[in-house]
Amino acid sequence: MLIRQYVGLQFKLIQRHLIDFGIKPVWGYILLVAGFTGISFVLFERTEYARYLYLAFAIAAVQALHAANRIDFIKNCFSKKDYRIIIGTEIILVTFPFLLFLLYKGEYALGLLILPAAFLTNSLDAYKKFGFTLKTPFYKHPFEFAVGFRKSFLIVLLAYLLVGIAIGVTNFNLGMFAIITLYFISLTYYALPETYYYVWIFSGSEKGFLGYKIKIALFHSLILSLPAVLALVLAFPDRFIYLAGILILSSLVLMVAILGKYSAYPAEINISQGLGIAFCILFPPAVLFILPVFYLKSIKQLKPLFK
Amino acid sequence: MIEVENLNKYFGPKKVLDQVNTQFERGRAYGVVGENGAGKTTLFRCIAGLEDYTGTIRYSEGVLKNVLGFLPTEPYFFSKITGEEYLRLICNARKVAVPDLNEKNIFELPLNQYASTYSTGMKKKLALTGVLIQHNQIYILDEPFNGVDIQSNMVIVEIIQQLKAFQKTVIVSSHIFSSLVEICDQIQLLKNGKIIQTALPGQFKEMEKTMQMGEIKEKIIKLALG
Repeated sequence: MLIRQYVGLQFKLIQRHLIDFGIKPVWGYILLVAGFTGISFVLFERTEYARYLYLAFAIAAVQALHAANRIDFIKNCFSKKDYRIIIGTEIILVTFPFLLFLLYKGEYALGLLILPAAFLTNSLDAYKKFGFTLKTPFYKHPFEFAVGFRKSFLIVLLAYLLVGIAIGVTNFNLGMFAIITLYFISLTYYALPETYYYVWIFSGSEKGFLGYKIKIALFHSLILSLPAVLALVLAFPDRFIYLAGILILSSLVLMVAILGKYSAYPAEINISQGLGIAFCILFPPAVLFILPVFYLKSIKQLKPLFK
Repeated sequence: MIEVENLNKYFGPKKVLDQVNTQFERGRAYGVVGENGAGKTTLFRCIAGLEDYTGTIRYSEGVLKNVLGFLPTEPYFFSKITGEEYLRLICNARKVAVPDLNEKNIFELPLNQYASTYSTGMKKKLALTGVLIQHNQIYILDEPFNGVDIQSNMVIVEIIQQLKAFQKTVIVSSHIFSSLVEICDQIQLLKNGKIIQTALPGQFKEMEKTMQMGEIKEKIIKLALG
């Protein structure tokens, strides 16, 4: 009964997110299922290591849901037994689509591994257990990369592992995929709007602010991916041009994501920005049209804070 | 009664609670004071079962967690949850019948709005209302006066007095010493994870003096405010 109420509430909250995103919940669910299935097929088509990535994505999804403050709240609210049931149910619900697709692909061994792996990593909370502050090379500039890197460093490590595998098995495409993953991770650091204060404290104009944000994002994303890029250049010197191309395109998409965020500011990005960013990822030349539109909208949205 | 014996807590190599021994009885209010980082919140989180520790925390009347209302310094709310849904969730979590929420809404919060849109003080009042309508036996209130308006501060003081009268145990931290003096039967001073002083009502003034001493003037000079 309790768990039914809890899960019911969570679905209600997801529906509100979809409505605020500008989409009817039913269409939202259809899009989510279609998007997940589509990306899964593409992933399995492009790389033979998709099954391992899949496992990692499932674990990352569980980790993202179970942020420390959320876990504390549930632990504090519910009895020990109910807490375990809720956390277990959430892990099962989040990993279920991944499990289903792995089974569809005949990956039974990994399918069986997905739940225990998710439970195990969920119980290991390095920050809380050891209380250390993860050092990052991004501490000098505010703030997205320093914060984001700490939240996603396991995925970053995984991307680097992929680069190692790519070099080991001489699979350049896998290496490219790892670089794109690193840029995609960078993009997620800009997914949510910061509070007014973090924008307001910037001394300068809205144009200067956007320029600064983009400059730092490009610089930091380059730092994040540079060792991987250099390793791939050394391993595949004849493919340098492809790497350069992917770096330029990824950087442009990152710029679109940043401008998309501020074009909706102070609200969260809605369907129009979301579609714009997705369109640029699927069809990179669209950047040329979408980038100026988002830039002008961002200037308009930020203007009141820089008066 | 809650008994805390030889409680130690480490974050990595750093010892944040050092051999804490104390006890909390029914019908009494206990203040915990100390500088930022002294270990107050960690002590509360250990009692609430949110942290691992070494040592013993014993509750003589059953499962502590099931009768404990913990108000954290910064309450957490699910994104897009309304005030009313939050209070219902809190009641359901403890299998307590949901009361008439309009009647229990003593801070007159806009319960139909998303909790995330509330101000800091309103969030605190919502979380406090939540732990109160659960009808707990023990209340741990971490900085309940922070960010709350003066009138609500007075209401919180009155609530704590009432809880004591109903034989509940209240453990409260605050940097507003005068508020604690008004409500507490005992105040403990934490420093570097150790309880260095315990004061009864007649000794509160002396404790306040201890807290005011130190090298604060020298530290301010280092700021070079001019």
